[in-house]
Amino acid sequence: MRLIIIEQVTEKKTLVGVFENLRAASFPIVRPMGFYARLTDLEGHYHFTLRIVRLNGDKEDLMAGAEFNFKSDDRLGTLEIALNLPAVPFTGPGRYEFQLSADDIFIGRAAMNVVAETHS
Amino acid sequence: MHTETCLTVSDFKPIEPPGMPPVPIPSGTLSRISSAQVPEFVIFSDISPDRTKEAVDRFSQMEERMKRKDELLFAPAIDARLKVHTPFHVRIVPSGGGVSAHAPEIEEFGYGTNRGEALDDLGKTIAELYFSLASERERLSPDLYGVLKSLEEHITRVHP
Repeated sequence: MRLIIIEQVTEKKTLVGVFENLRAASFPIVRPMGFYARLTDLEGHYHFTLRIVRLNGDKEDLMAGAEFNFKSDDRLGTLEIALNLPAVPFTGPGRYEFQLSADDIFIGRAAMNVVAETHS
Repeated sequence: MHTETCLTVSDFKPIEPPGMPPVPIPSGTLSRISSAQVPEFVIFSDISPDRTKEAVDRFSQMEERMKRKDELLFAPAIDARLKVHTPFHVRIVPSGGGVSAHAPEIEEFGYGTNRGEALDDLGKTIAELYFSLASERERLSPDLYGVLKSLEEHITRVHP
């Protein structure tokens, strides 16, 4: 998504500009992007890893990544991960994935398409 | 002649029930999160030599940690009725132009054109296998009962 706004008092999140396809006239490009995940059934301290990869057949090219720690006190509660990533690189058209792991355990992914815009 | 009408945010007024006084919003309560809330966000192609040696070393170590591993622990939400409480060991191997994800403990495979698709497919396969075996629990052969017990070492049914 384009951006996450967090209201400081209530910590409510607003996800702005959710999309699946990104168009660009030339490459490489960098774009600020938001990443949001809502997790439950967590208790204790967790080390999260977010990998941003470009899919290339059976291979993956690692573009960028983030590491962060969160603590959850209530297993029945939810943990919201809301990150505004300053500049995500897209080296060319194709399919990109955001892969989330907790303590080195793969827990989910989100994919998006980057498309070359053609001018006729 | 073509004309365009452009609305800006200031054109909109909040809808209020009649008689309700507007509630003032304290200034400064809305804000964007800053990138500082991502303590270590690294673009790996941007690890330029003009950074300090300490930063280059730290980023290189992070890149090494994040490089794709062909073996991983796998515990996503595979079905709303199931909870994976103990992760599966999964091996990723190239397979006929695509990728297969293999869970050796239960000898199950998922396939896809890339790793993510193969893992999604493996998750669906595991969930389907669990439901089909659990529904026939009383009639399973010893081999299949062993597979069900292996699955139950990883999965709990949380909703009927």
